Order: sequence, then C-alpha cells, then structure tokens
Amino acid sequence: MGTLVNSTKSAKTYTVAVAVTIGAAVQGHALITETVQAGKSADVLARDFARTTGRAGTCEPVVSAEDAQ
Amino acid sequence: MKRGNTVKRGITVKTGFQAKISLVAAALLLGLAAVPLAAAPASAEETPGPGAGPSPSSEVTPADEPSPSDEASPTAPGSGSESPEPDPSPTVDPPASLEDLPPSEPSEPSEPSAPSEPPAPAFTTEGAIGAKWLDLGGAGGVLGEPISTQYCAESGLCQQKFAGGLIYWTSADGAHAVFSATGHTGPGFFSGGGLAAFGYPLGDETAAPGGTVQKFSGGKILAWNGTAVFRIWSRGAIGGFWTALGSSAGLGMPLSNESCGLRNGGCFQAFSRGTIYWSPATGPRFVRGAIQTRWKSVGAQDSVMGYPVTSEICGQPASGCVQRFQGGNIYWSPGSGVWVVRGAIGGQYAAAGATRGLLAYPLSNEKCASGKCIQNFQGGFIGWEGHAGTRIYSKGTECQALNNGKSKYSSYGANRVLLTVARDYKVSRSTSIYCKRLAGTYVPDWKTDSYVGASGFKPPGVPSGPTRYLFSPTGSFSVTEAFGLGNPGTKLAYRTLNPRSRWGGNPWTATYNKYFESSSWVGWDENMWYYATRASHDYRQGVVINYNRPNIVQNAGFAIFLHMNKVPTAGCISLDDWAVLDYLKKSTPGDRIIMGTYRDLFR
Repeated sequence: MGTLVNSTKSAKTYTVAVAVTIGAAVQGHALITETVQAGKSADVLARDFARTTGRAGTCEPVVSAEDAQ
Repeated sequence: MKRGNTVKRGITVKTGFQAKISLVAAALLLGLAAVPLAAAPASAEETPGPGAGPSPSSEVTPADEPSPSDEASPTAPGSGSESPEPDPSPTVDPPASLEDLPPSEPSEPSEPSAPSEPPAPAFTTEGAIGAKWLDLGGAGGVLGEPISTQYCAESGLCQQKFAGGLIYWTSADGAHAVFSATGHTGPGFFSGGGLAAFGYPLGDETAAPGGTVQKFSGGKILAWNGTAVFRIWSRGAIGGFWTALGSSAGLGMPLSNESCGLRNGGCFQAFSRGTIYWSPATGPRFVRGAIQTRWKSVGAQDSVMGYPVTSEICGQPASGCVQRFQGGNIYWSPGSGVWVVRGAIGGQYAAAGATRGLLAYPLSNEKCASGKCIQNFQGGFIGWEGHAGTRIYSKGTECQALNNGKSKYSSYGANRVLLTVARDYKVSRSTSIYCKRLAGTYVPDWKTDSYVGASGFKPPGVPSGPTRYLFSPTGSFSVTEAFGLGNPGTKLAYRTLNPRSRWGGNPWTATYNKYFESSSWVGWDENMWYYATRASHDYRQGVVINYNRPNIVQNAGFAIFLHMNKVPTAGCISLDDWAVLDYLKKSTPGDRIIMGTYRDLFR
C-alpha cells in the first residue's frame, strides 16, 4: 500500500510497478495506473500478487508519472 | 758484374739480325700467349674482351728513361742514382702493344748443312724487374719471354712487358707482376683499363680467404672470389669499410662491383658474407643473412626502412641481433625469426624495453587493416589505432583462443567479442573479457568479473528455458541492439525505454522473446521500465543477446541480456556499470558474445 501525491499544477497519471523478488527470480508483480489531479493525492494497494513460500523476498515498487491525457 | 738477364743465358749483346729473329719469335710467342687468354677464367665483368690481348696497350709511354737497374742493388732497384752503362748493342724500341710489333721479316737463309741456331733473345731483363721475372720462373715461367725493353716514366714508374703480362716497378713499392694469361686479377686489370684505370700493382696477386686479391696504386683492389673478379675501391667508403671489417676475412670476397645510383645517392657492393650499403646520410653499413633478406623483402632502401644506420648488433638477449635502419629496426633471434619493428609500434616497443622487456622479440611484422595495426611479440601484442595511439596487449587472456583455434565457437569475424566464462556448471560468478580485433588478431580490451544466471550455464545446445529457472545459455550469439534510458553513444540499434516497455516472456504468444509496449504487465513478461528504474537499475543500459532470436523457439528462453547490476541473474550477463557503458560505446552490429563454461568454450 502507498500514497501517490501530485504536488504539481497539472494532473498526472502514475504507474506503479511493484515486484517481489528473491535474488533474480521474480516471485510476483503488479502494475497499478492511477491519475491524480493537481495538488491531490491517492492511496494505492496491490494485494496478493506474490508468494515467497517461506523465503525472504524483496518487494520494490517503481513509480512513473506522465501528464494525464 | 751481372748486367742483365737474357732469354738465352749468358748472352747480353744482341745484333740487329738477332733482334729481328727475336722479334719474330716474340710475335709467335705472343700469338700463342693469346690463346690461353681467350679462355682465361675471369668474371663476366672483368673478362677480357676478344680484342683484349695479353699485353696492355696503354701502359707507361715508352721513353728513353733509364730503366731500373740492379747494378746498384739487386734487391732495391730503381734508386735512379746510377745511370746504366751504355748498352753496346743496338736497342729495339719496345712495342706499345702486340699490334705495334713490327711485322716479321723473312729470316735470313740459314746454312743448309748446318743446323739452325735457336733465335737469340730479343730483349733483356735487368734490375729488380729482371729479378722479379726470374723469381717467377723467367722465360719458362708464367710471364714467358720479355717482349719489350724496360722503360720508365718520369714519375719513376718502370715497366717491362712479357708474353704473359707486365712487371711494374717503383722505388717505393718494388716490382710486382700483373699476369695477362694466367692468374685471375691480371686479366681483370688489363680488360678494365690497365694502368690508367688501376695504377700500378702494389703487390702480386696473393691468396686471400675465398680467393685472391691484388692491390693497385690507384686505390683499387681486384679480387677473385673463385668464380669472378671484381673491383673494390679501397679509398671509397665501401672499400674502406670492407677493409675495416677485415677485408676478405671479414665480409668475404666481392660478389659484385660497387654500384651506385640507388635512392638518395646510395651505393652498394655485395660480398660473400654481406652487402655494404652507403648513402650520404648514413655512411657505409653492412647487412647480411636473415636481416638482409627481411630488409629486401620489405623493399630495402626504397621502402620506408631506408638505409641501415648501424651494422648488425648482436649479443642481444637470447642470442639475438638487431640492426637499425632509417625507418625502423630489424630484430632476429633463433627462437623468433627475423622481423621489422617500426613506426609508432616501434616506439612503444622501445619504450617497453625492446628485446630486454617483457615483450622480448617480435614474431611477425606489423599487420594493418582498416586503419588499425598490430604486431605480435613473444610476450604480447602491440596494437595501434590512429586516434588511440599504441597499446600493449597481453597474450594471457582467452581472446588468444580466438586467434589460435582453441575456441570451439567462431567469432564470425566480429569486430569485438565478449567472452563470458564460468569455471563450471552451476557457477554464476564468471569472467568477462572484451576482445577487439586489430588487423585480424583479437586482443583483450579489458577483463572484469561478472555474473551469469544464478543457476549457471546450461550445456551447449540445451535451451536455458524460462528465466525463472535462472539458467544462462551456452553459445556464440550476435549482438545487434541495445536499450536503456538514453543512448550513451552506441552504434547498435538503440531503444530508449518508457513505462510501457516490455519484453515478452509468455511462451506461445506473439511477443515471446521480443520487445513490445503495453500498459499492462502480464505473467512472465518483463517490465523493462521497472528494471531500468528500480534502485539497482539493471536495465538502465543493456544489450540484447540474440539467444533464441530472431528464429524463436517457444519456451526455450527469453530476455537474455547484458546489463548493469552485477549480481547473479535470471540468465543474463551482469557487469559493472562502467563495463556496460564501455561495451555499448565500442560495440557495433555483428559483434558477438560467446558465453559458457571453460570446458564448453575452449579446446
């Protein structure tokens, strides 16, 4: 779960890519696309997208922003 | 007191009749003498021509000078201090040449009942010339009968002609013979211009290593090498150098006369153990043996090598030799052969210690192609690339396997090959060597540690399979395209990634093992943007390894890249950032990546 905050003066479309990896192996991933108006924020959540079956994994999100269409 | 030698012992006074008879006899003798001369061994250059008789025709002009006499001293004639006593017999002017001999007259009729007496001698010999003549066997020796009187020039040079040659005498140098019908140097003397061309002999023709030599006052030496006679100009730079090197005991006998007209006013003369080259800028130097052969093979003085500036310098490490030329050096050693080192590579070689450095001796001449050059040395390579200058390359890397046939996989002539090698199967840690080709030879640009799939390599021919199994494929793969967040300057087709950049990982779909763009992230597809922008920035810059493409086998494996983030991978090769960037900047389409275990890659 996370919060997208648009502190710019124009609407943005955010793409949140998140993956759980154990070493080089991807255990699961998710992609969330959310448009946030200027000065606004939005909570996003990716649920049950990866299993590590008892081993420690790394969950790392990447966020990209583009001007909203 | 003995006044002179005569052909007939004890007779010193001649009558006019006897003189006439003697002239006829002399003419006959000379005619006979001309026969062996025509067949005399002489060189092509010095062989007397058909018209060259055994006697010189332009020697000292006969004069009425007193001839050297042995009255004062039999062994030191020509003092000139004592005048010969008047000869009671009429003298006969000496002929200037055989052709000048007066025609023979009919002999006086002899008494029919009495046997005719042998003809009286025509000319006498005396003094040192006479002594010399006797030393050489007199009338029965190689010189035969005298055919002129002795006569002397104002210079003090005296001479007397014989059927088989001439004897010259000076007070300073004594009496020495030049044979016309025997010996080797004498015929060369006569055919080459005689006294006017050579001066008088300073000694007899004497044996020397490899033949015979005879020195003349004009500074020329005639030398017979067992086959032919050639001249050496002893006062010239080449002849002087030959003498300084030990004459015939040094460089041996001449194989040619001195010849000039070479580039930049140069001259040369060949000897049996080397050739002396001279030019105004370099002076005389000799070249010989393998170094001479190599020098000639590259164009000798007409090439960039120019003339030698030293003679051969031996005593180098490993019993080698070096000779320096205007445009470079030639090195030889028993274990390496003979090769030219020059130019920028030569400068680098010298800076590295030349034969005393780690590079030791050259094993080839430099090879150049496409503006790049390389030269092979025992201890490595020296390469030259215009803008980058020269660089020494090690032979101790796997790149050498691409040169010597020990690589099981072909480079297909690629400009650059990255060799990524793991010690064994199930080993992810690897070594990557970036090899570049200079004029057909692969040399290491750099070598660094790297990682491949976390599960190691699959054997040759076995698909690496889905990336989730973390295997890397074995083989030689081409490289044609790259990707990342901005082109760092590669010549490969470059794709700048965006948030929709994907690489197909779902088998039996149209996008399997291909780049495509999508707003979704489905299944085993790779989100390239994600990997490029996450903290470890794997795909900030990357290169597509053409494994399982362009002819794609479903589920055989996909997304095999070379990329940043040097950690064990899902099948890719990972390198330090600097290495990926350098690879991209230097690679061109058609380069190859050869990857696998040592055992699978090399013989």
